[in-house]
Amino acid sequence: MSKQHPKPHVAISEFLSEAQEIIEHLSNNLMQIDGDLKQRNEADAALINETFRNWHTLKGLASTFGAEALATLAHVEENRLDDIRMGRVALTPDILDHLFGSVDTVMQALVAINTAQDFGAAQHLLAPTPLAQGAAAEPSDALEALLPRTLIPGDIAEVLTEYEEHRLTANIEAGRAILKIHASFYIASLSADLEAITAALKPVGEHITSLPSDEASHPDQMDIELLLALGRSRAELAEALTDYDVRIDTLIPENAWAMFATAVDATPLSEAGMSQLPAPSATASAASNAELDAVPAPTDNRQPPAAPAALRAPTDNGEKLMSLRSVSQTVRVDISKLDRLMNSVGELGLVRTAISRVSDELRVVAGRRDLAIELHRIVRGFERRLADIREGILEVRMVPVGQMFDRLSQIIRKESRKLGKEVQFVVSGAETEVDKLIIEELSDPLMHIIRNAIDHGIEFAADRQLTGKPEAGTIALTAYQKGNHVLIEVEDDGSGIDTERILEAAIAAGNLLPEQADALNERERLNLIFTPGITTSSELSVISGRGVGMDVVKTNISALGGIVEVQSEIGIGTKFTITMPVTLAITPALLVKVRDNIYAIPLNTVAEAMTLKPEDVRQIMNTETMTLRGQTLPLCRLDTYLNIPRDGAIPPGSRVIVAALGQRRLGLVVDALAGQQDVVIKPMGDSISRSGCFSGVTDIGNQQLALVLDTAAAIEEFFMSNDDLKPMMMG
Amino acid sequence: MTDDAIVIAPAAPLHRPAAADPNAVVPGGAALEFLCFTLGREEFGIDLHLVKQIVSPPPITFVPRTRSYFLGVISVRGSVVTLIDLRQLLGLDPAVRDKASRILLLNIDREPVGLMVDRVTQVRRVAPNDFETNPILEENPATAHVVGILRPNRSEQITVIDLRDIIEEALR
Repeated sequence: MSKQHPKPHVAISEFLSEAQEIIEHLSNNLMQIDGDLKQRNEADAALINETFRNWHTLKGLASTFGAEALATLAHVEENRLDDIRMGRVALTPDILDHLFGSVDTVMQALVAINTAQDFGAAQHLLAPTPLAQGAAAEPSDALEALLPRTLIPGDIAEVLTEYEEHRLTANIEAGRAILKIHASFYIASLSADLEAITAALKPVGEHITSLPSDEASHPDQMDIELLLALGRSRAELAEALTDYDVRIDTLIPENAWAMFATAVDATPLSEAGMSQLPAPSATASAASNAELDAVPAPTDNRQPPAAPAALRAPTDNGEKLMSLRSVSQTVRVDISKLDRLMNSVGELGLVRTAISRVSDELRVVAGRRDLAIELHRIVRGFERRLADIREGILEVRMVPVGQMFDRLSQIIRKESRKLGKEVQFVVSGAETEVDKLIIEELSDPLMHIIRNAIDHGIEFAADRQLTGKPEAGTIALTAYQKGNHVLIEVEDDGSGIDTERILEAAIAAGNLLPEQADALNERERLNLIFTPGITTSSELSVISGRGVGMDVVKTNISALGGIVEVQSEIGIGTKFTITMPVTLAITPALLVKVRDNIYAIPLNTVAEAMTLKPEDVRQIMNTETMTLRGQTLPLCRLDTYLNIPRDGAIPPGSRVIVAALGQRRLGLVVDALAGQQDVVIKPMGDSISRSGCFSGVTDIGNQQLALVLDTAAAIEEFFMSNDDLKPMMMG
Repeated sequence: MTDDAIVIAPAAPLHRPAAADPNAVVPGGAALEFLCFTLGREEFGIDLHLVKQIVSPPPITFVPRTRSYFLGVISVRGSVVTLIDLRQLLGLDPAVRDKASRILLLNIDREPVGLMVDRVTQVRRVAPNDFETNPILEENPATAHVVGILRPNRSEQITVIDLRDIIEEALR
């Protein structure tokens, strides 16, 4: 059994000390679970979960050190505990016995390994021991399991892990209130604070999970929502939280499940549930013998798994009345109604400006100062409420990108099957929230990119094998938020884009002169796929490659104020990165002055603004530049860009707005800053928006409109038309 | 909202202007309605139903990098209106804004459009007999869209133009 070259002793002792620690935890936890079962006929869910984690950690440790037999055993027990914690299998005394037995086995194995100083030494001890009795599966009707779930608000259900969801469901079934405790913590001490509050909550209920909230009230703080299944009274909860400044929302009230279940009482559902109500441990009780005296024989006093209260007859009229109310708290809203609301909010903002002007004027009127001050105070209150409404509407518009990802995954499945390619779809960041409108507008471009990836990117299984890739291709869809933008990446591990072929295609399509081709770098060549009429495939394919395509993708994304970038390597794969603003509806903007006109620049595209000293401006070829923190920043005079140029040098006192999008930076030179304002961007008519410089207009009061600069378009155009900037393009 | 806004045909049904189709005009005998305005020294008339509202010009926001007949955008009761200089569209000198200037908000589907004119004179109801169709005129951009001449009396002459095509073209 011993190996020829045992691993160094250092590794073994390291392994042993860690494994020993885990085993101690494990046996401790098991003892506690045993005690709970005896006293309350119910084990603490958190303990079971911890036991699951112990086995999981042990498995990881064992495989890291190459103790395969131990890893296998730990894996078996980990799965068993997973079944238990997820409620798929009831925790019977037999199972508990078995778990104690496994811990013993591992201990013996550790001793053997220590003695022989060889991982192989324990092999014979660790032969997987089958559980005497098949675990008694808890009677779980799919419907029964599903129903309490429907009480969980969708946004929360989406972010929960399977286990957390199971715990939530179990607590709802048990009639406990589910509370959302909203607390703000300083980011610096976040984990310690979170631990403290979790500990404080432990005596009063089960802490299910902590979700970061996007409601950050302060830049240095992070808002966390703790989901708690309340096991005690609310008074006890309040006492436990006396030291904390929290907001408690009731997500699901006490006995909500009972009410809900009563509501569906008349339906055949509950009948199905009824027939499914056996004593859960019937099988187990027969099998359970006094192998270990410590374990009480499971008898009838073991409660059935919290029976849905549907099965209990409604006790009084009050309950009946309650049951008539709708359980769902969701309202479906047409997005255009929200747009109208948003417009009204924008206009209320103008009203506010008008009132404060009056109050300012009033202040200088003799004898009216008191009125002016009161008016000012009222305006402040008005302003705050207005901000609340605005935020509320914005929040309503936000939906997780997961909805769109689901639709896309169906397309992938369908299209890949049609082409006979094997494609695996990996999604992450599905919970990232984006304005509904953006999601709608993005799904077509994304679909196109993905179809392209399946069609031209991913190779056939046979070809993939030749190049040593796994037979199934992978398309990874990733979403995450970065500041005010959401980034969506589509990455495939296909053949990559052959820039030589794109060059040929571009020249053939007349988009590029052969002599221009040599001057392009790799990135620029790649970007040619976004020009009209270029297809990445030499032959017309079933799905994409009809010549229209990537240029449309780019146009659609630009129309939303986003940019799309592509990276590709032959034989490795292709990655598209789409950068989008989180929301379109309302956005803080910088107002700037250019030749007596006011323009708004969305603040989410502005990195900084500063005064431009004329002596800092250097000419590189045809472009004015300045140096910003050691980097060359190309300058674009906004008046020139807007075709209202002025001759001569940049006038003194001009400002530079550093616009940044993705990796590109451009200094926009303006005459002056004219303030900062939250603006509602309204579209202009199609005809006049064809100038391409503006993403819309916004009301800035007094019937005045300001054009909202499309920063993405400006950056794009600037870099496209200035050949000498190529080295600066990447920033 | 400006106080001197005149709402003339609120939600008037959209139909082809009678003036644009002389055949429909002559036999009917029903009175025709035209909104009349001046551009320079000349008076023009357009089908009344084409105009939704007349407003005094609010502040105009110039939109750079657009064709010259686009004067910019204006805000009318919260909606963004594309403003077109009718003079330039008809090949005349650009509009000079003064106190008499008015904007005709049009009743068209494509997008909210306003036309800047020098002065609105009146709404005329005319008997079909007073409407001379197919006048013989010299060929120039201003006459290309002329569909008839109104002669309300001996001394006056109003050129009736069909704006639908010309606006469609301008917005395209």
